[in-house]
Amino acid sequence: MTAAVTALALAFGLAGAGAYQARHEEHEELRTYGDERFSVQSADHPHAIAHRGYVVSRPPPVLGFLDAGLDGALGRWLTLDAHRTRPLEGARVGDLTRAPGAGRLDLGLLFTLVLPGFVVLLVHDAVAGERRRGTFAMLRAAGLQPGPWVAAKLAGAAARVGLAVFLPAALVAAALTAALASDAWPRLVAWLGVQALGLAAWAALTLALSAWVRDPPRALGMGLMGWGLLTVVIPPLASTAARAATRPPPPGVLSARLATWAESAHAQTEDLRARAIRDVRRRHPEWDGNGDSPEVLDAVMLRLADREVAERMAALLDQLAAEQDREATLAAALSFASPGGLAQLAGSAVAASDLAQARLAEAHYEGYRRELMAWINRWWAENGQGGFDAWSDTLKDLSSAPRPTPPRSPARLAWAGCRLPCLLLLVLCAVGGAAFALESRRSLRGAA
Amino acid sequence: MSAWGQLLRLETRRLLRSPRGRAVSAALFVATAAAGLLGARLAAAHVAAGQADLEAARARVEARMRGDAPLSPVETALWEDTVVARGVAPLAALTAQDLAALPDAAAVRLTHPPTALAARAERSPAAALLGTFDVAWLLSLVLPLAVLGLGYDALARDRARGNLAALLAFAPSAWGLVTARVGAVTVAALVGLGPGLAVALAATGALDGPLAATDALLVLLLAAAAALAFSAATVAVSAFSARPGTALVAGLVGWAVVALALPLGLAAFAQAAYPDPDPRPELDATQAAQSILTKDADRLVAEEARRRPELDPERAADGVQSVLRFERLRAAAHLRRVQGAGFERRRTQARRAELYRLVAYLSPTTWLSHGLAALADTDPEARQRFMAQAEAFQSQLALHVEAPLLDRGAAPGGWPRLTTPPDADRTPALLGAALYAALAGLATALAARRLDRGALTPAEEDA
Repeated sequence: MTAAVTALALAFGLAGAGAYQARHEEHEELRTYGDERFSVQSADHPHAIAHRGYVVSRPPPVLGFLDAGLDGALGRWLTLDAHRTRPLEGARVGDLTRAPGAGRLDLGLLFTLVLPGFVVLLVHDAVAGERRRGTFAMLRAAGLQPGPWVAAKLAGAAARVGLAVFLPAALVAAALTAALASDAWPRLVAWLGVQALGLAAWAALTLALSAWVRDPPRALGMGLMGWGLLTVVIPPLASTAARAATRPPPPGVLSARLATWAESAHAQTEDLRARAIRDVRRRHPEWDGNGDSPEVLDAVMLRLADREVAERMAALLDQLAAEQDREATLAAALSFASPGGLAQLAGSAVAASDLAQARLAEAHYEGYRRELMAWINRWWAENGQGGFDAWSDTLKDLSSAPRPTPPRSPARLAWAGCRLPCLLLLVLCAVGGAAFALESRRSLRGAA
Repeated sequence: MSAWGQLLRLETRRLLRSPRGRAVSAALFVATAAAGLLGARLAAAHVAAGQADLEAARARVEARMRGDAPLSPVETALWEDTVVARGVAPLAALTAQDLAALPDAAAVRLTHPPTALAARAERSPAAALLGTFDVAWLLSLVLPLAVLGLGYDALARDRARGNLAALLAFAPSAWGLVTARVGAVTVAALVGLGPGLAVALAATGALDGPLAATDALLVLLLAAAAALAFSAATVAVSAFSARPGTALVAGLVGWAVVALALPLGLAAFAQAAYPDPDPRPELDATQAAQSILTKDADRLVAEEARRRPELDPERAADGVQSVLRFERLRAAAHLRRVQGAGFERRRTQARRAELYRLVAYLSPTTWLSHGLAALADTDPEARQRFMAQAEAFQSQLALHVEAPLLDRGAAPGGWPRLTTPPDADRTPALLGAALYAALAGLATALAARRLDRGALTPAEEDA
């Protein structure tokens, strides 16, 4: 069994690592490309540059080679431009396979989908086998106490699962981490902890089944059937129910709304002009509002309008995020009975391949976009009056400044994402262990 | 009634009256009906989303053409999105997972190739991580498990107990015994599955468009053929196993390989064979093409005018017409370049989808999901077909706005609108049913041959 697990871990691990490597290389190339294109652009009108846009690449998840999570379902790059007029541009989801994990092949899928089957194979006869061989009756006759018996069986199951199932896959995960992300050891430990918890829940539930069912083949059959149903029925059922219960706003409706807002950024209304004048006077008290303005009013109007657009957009994104969170929480809560589904949710949170992490990068880029566009408009407002002679040099300075990279996934996000699934996994471990203990106690006492 | 008929009736009655048979049939009914009802709800949400997108874009187009500074039809078609909704076939309720990865609508402008709006999996990707429990998922992943639960001990139990030789002595033949047991397992599975599928098909009535009776019959035929094939395979595994436990484990390992590992491996193979091309050349070309819209493009417009002399700005009746013709030709030049820039990506995606469709036939469980997806117009190539329909609509839109430019008067009817009709392909379902029938025949023959040869070998208890 150890050999089979090792072979599978190598196959799944290398497949995941290959996909991650390609994704990582593309990210690096696109990041360099975006910076280069930004730095060599011609010194057009500042607002034309703002509209021309800037390509950014979404970084791959920290442990994407172990658990790609939602990475395949999200775009890989996007274009940032003034008023965000091109929200549809960017790499988009192409094809997702009809299979657990949406077609990805990595160690995360192995841990949550395949290895539980091996746990069932290893643990199913822990008690039922003793019964079949007749050793259980001997132990009962010898007056064995339930406490030591339960503790010994739990420890034995943990040791067998740990050595034969968990360890080979964990070693492959460690080797891949050493090769691809040597600074992610703490996260790897947490990720392996989550997976260990998932396997422990499976082991506890199988032990309870083994104590309840008299015959090892029947225990094996029921265990494997339970494994099949818990991995291919409960998680998708939970996800489907969550999908049916939530309705994110249609993208075309949002797109039309964004287009209307973007248009309002260029609408030169009297109200906006008055606000722009007040804004300029606040910064230039010596100007009485008559004659030539010390700043280009069009640019100030654009900056003010852009800020409003960005605020509206932020509110819209918050609304979308709330809807997504509702769906994710509902899916986690409904997959309570499935250790595989819970481990998948917790694992992707720790691997930084879940929704919260994707949103973190998006929020970072949106912040950068706002900052860049505001800076360009401010420069135009302050220097535009004297022509654009200095713009070329300024643009060079701006271009040579390093582009900020998205923050590395903070631990608090991983904790927030894996907290609920881990708690539920602990509950499942406790339920399985308690059921096993109670059944063992009943069996041993019954004999006495 | 013939001896075989009596045997089949006895076997079926025995299985249906057993607690296991009742539990599996009931579970299949509940699961299929639930998957159908949930799928119908999801499909209805996709229909609503596509129509909402279409109406929102239409309202915006109308507002732009009527506002304080109204745009001409050409300008509106150039700078505003006209949305095409993807038609959702009633049977898409059975393949709701595919819908999550497909766009509900596409935005069309004359300056750019049509752009797919974000699919559900992109907007709220939790569903992608855990899968979707629809009828196709149930039939391809859960039905084999259910059938295995019904029939793993069909022959192994008799072999282990040493009854097989006696049983064969009374049966018409080994073939007759095997087919009767395969038939019993299939009937027991269909007792739950059939009514469940009927509920699922009835639930599609809540969606737009009638469900064609032929399509409904094809779904039932495909499901029945799949149940038969899975039953025959299960009985064959049972015939080759010495004990029921061995049969169960072998069946489950086979299920894991065929239903889980093969589809995943084949998808990975298709992805590896046709990886996404380097996006940089496309980005470069798109960026370069952008300058056509923002800078002087006299030379390019002259080139376009040679291709379409009827739109030559110099032949316009007045200055406004001339400017609008110039803009139209400029947009055509831009569109040509952007289309060229994205050609490699589109070709790769199309080839990948085609390869996946072909290699997926190596996994028997995907015969079913692909057959259903082709009937529901949600197969791997549905995205490409929809984008091609959107491109055709783009030409229609261009003709609509060009009519006034060519002094042909306003085009009849309002602003063009399109909800693309679903494009059902019945061939994969028929092919799948035929393949399942062949698989069932092969598995049954193997099991009968095994019984002929090995029925009298000593059982474990004999030894």
